Amino acid sequence: MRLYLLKILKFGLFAFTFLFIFGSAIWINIGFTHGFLANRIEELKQIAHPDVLFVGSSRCYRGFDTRIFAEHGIEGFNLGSSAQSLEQSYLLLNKYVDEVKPKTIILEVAARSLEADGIESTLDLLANVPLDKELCWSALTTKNPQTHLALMAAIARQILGISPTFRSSSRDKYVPFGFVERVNQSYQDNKKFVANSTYTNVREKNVESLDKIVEMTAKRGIKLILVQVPVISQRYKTHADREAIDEFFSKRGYYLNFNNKLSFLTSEYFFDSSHLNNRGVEVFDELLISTLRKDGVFDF
Amino acid sequence: MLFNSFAFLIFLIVVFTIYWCSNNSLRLQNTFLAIASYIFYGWWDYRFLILIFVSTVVDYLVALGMERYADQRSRKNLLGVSIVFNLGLLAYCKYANFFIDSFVDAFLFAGFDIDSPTLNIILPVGISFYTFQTLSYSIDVYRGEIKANKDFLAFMVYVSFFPQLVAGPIERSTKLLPQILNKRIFSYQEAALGMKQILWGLFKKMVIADNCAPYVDQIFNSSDSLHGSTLLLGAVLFSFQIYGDFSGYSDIAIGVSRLFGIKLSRNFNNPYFSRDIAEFWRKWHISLSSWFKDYVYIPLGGSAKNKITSIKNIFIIFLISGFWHGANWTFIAWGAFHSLLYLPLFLLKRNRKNLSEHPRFKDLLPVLKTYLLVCIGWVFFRAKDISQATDILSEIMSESLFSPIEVSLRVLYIIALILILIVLEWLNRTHEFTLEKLGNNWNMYTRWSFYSTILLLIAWFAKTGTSFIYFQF
Repeated sequence: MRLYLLKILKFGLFAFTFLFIFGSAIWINIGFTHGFLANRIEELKQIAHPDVLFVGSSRCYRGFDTRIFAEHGIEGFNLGSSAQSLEQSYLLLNKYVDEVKPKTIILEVAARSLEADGIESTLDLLANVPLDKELCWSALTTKNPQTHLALMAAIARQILGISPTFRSSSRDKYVPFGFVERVNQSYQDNKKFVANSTYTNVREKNVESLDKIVEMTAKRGIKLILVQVPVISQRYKTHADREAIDEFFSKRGYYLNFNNKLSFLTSEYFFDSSHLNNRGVEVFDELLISTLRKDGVFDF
Repeated sequence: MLFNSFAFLIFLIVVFTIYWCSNNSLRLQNTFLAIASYIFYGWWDYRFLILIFVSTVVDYLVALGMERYADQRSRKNLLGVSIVFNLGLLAYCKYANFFIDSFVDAFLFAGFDIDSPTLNIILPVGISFYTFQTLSYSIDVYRGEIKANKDFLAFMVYVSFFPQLVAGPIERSTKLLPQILNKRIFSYQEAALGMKQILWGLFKKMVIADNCAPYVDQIFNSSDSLHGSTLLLGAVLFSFQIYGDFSGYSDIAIGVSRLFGIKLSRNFNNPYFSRDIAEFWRKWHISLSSWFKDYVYIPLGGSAKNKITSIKNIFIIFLISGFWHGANWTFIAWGAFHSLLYLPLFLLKRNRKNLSEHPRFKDLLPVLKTYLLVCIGWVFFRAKDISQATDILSEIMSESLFSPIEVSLRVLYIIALILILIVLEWLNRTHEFTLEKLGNNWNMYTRWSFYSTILLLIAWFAKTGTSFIYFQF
């Protein structure tokens, strides 16, 4: 028995070291780079007092083109990251809002941001954002071995002073200040959507985080705008609780749902079922800017 | 409490430590096992404990009664009590709504519209497994194959032994009870084998099954808009999902049991390497197949009587086997489909052709053919109703089978992992489980690196909060 326990203990130490070294090595090399979050974090150091800071998932960094906003005299910075749930949006804002001091925050929201478990987003953050207590805690509380492994890698990266690897993509172009562009690609509508409607599985942690964001912005006098970026209309219609979701976000503040306003956009304006291509972004951003100007948001 | 959860890891460490600190006292060992098993089961819902306790008491008393009365009639009556109680409990909890709905449908079909009451019944986890286990005990005592057990504590452990309580293997009293009635001595070899088997079970469950699941759900949920090629991929992925899930569970159960010095029966023997359907049924869910053979098929006359009776018995056994999985016509269709595959082998007397030898590489064609037939069967098993299953199969049989596959490229990772599983299981098919002897000749650090790589894969591909498919049965 004693021999067995000793062997288990030895193997445990060996396996931990093995996982730490190889797991970290794999994560350091692979990481999560397709969302270009590392580029944004690097650029963020040069940004001060932008007119607007965009936060949210890939629909955010593929939907709000900072160049179009600049043409209208609005300085923006896009801090979106892959599959960002509201929990991670809060983590990022909490970490950077006092450094960046934006006048307005546009938070990209959708049914998905309420139900996301945040694992993919946590992996992205661990691979690209400097660690702090909140991020470590968030990674630990996902109770997912993959995020624990990524946390180990992040600790190793931080200790060894290794920067996240910057990668370019053959399909995507990273535009300074956070936007990611996909040009000349239309959605091949070869996949029909399931007729059965689905309901949103709201995760309490995301609701709490949204409430914290509302409180945080109010406390600092920052305008907060919640925006649903349009997805292809067949996909949007698969959500059975669209009205309930609209009502939920409207109660939290100034909320705009462009799925209703731009429901006429065909597959020509998307590169997949939930992301706009450059044509779609142009239509969407122009309408967003004019709506916000009309409502007096950009009256600076 | 799921085997693939952090709560179970803590539970196992605590129970293992207390159990082996019990100073090798049989009474203490069984007391801890009984308490641990009830905590484990009550973790789902404490109300389930009442059911399992009542079931334990009934069969314990029935067996003692049978021992006490020598006359055949009293013994038969007592056996009847056990059968009615156990099957009644199972029928009520699992099948009541199915029968009500089927009656209503039959009346509707005949032109009568009647109100259908739906009972709000919670299906207790593992009820199909432990009722069969207690039933086999009563039948074995009735047949005189085992003496009635007077030690109630040991009998409690027999019924509720936590590693195999919720999804088997369904143990026979003749095998498990003697082990519970004897003091267990710690064996380094057995405990080491147990750890290896747990590791392999976790790999099959957390890496293979859980990662096939999202694609299977995606494909089966939108089957009406997908091509035959994608649907076939869905059936193949489901075959590995259910195999990884259930055989993974069995490996973990057997491995955990080994840590406590108790040897459980083998439940899977590389079923996808079978050369015909008869061999598949000797290798898939072995404890259930042999249960049906010993307690239903043989009492019905088996194949000893004339051909018509044998064919009838084969149909019955496969239909019951399908129905055991759940109150849905899809499971019955699955059982009927397998009976149709089995019958020709039986009639041509080829059902016992591949009894002993392990398959070789030259058997690749019959193995692939059998696997394909099994996959077709899985479509019935996984579909939400018969019409979905037939739609999927007709799409697979159409020319769209040659269309490009319509799922994310990430599925290639899963296919690569499945190939790793197949290669390792094939190379170790003569052993009880894949890791049993694999690496025994390697030096310690190479072997540990191999195990750590499996751990790394588990950590990498793990998903949280995934249950086991067979818990619903």
